[in-house]
Amino acid sequence: MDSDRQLHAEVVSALEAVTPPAPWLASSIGESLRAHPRRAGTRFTNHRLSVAIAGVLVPLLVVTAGGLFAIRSLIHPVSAQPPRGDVARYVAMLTRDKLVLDEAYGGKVSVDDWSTSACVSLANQECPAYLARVEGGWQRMQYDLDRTTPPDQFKAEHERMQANLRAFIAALGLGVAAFNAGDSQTLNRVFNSAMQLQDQILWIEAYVVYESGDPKPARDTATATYQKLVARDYDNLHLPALFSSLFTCTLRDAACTASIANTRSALRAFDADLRASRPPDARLDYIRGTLLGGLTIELANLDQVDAASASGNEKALESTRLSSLHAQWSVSLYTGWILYAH
Amino acid sequence: MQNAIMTRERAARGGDEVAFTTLLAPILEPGYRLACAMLHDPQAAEDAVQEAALKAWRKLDRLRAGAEMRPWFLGIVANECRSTRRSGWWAKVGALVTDRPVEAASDSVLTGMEVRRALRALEHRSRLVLVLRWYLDLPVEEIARVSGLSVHAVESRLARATRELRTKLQAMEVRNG
Repeated sequence: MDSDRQLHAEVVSALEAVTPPAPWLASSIGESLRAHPRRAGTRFTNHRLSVAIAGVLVPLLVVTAGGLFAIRSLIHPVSAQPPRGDVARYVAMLTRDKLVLDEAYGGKVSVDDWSTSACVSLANQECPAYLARVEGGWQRMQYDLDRTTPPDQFKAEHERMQANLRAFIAALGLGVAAFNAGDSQTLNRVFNSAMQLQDQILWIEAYVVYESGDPKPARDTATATYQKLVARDYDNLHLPALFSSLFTCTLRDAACTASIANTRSALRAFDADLRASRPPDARLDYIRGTLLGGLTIELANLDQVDAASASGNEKALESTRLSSLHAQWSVSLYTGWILYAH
Repeated sequence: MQNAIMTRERAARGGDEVAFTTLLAPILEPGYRLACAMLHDPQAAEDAVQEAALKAWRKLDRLRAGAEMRPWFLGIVANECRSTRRSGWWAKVGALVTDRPVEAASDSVLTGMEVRRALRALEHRSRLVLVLRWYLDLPVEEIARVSGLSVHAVESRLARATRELRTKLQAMEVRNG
């Protein structure tokens, strides 16, 4: 570097290379400002007056909004699709996050492909760095999802990804701690069980990218209705939250018992709905059979976890909760066949 | 011209988002360039500018009447960049995002990647004043308003940052042979 001028030129050229044009920025900021209206700085100083005005205005606004909504529903029974740009931006964000993840893993990461040699034994010193890098990749996706309002059509998928990400990132953190503590049992649990969460996120991400692509043939109403029912009942299970509870469950753990109780009643409701509904085709009918089997097994597993915990049997608790985590994987997998695989 | 700006500012303070967007439009580009130069990650830079715009919108009352909007907004962008770099994921995969080779090979002894690595090694405020001066060509007085430093402090920070950057780059040149 001979002179300030040369250094200046080197810096400008190095920075220009990471500043691609972003012509959409102004419009996307305009949209986001419209979504966050700002009130002017007017303040009522008379408290009684404010309360009186609020007492009249709030019910009036509620009635007006309700009326407008009802009229709008009559005119437009189906809600309008969000602008195409929203979907494109959302998918571009997911795609970029996936690229960062691939780099963190050192290769393309896909569903059902989570084998790594970095953490096969506690002797492998690369494991903590590998897990930290992978955890960072998922945290980046979580950071992006948490800061993004999803397009309406992917709202449920967005929330499912977020729930799975929370549980998975926590499990990866436990994996690093387990390695440092020389706890191979927990480390194995991360690789044998927590990878179902990774599979779920990758599956949903791939589904969103696929669905946002070229126009697809319209799904028939019966299939769409059936998928809606399955999605609702599946989301009510809150499996990622149950996963996190079971992962760290101790004997007579009240939080764990509460989480199990929540999922148990949702499992029963799911089971009843599946039995009462009629799948629109033979393929979905077949999946329903396997899914019902998975729900039954998980219900039995949760009873056994509760029994082991209440009786103070640590060994039984360990084995039953592993069975439960495994059965969750099956429930998510069969549900995914209904929701994401057409 | 000044009257039109003041009218828009009053409207924006009253909650008119179109007026605010119009005021913001000419300073979004420098905001985005600043974020790219601080983060070296275009996607994170877009997010930072978007977040900064929302914060500016919410905190518009804090901008003194008649004060220039650009240094105020760039200050918010700089703070957003700092928050991004402090986030958990950045410490772990920031380098994966920012070290991607994005330019074609050049004849220069130092690649752009090395220059950026040297820049990233500078302390936040040093990097900020250097970027504002060299990349955004801002006058020292405005840099002082963006960074919250005195004009004198900016000048000495700029001289120190240049020395530090030069030292780091020379060390890289030696390593590269």
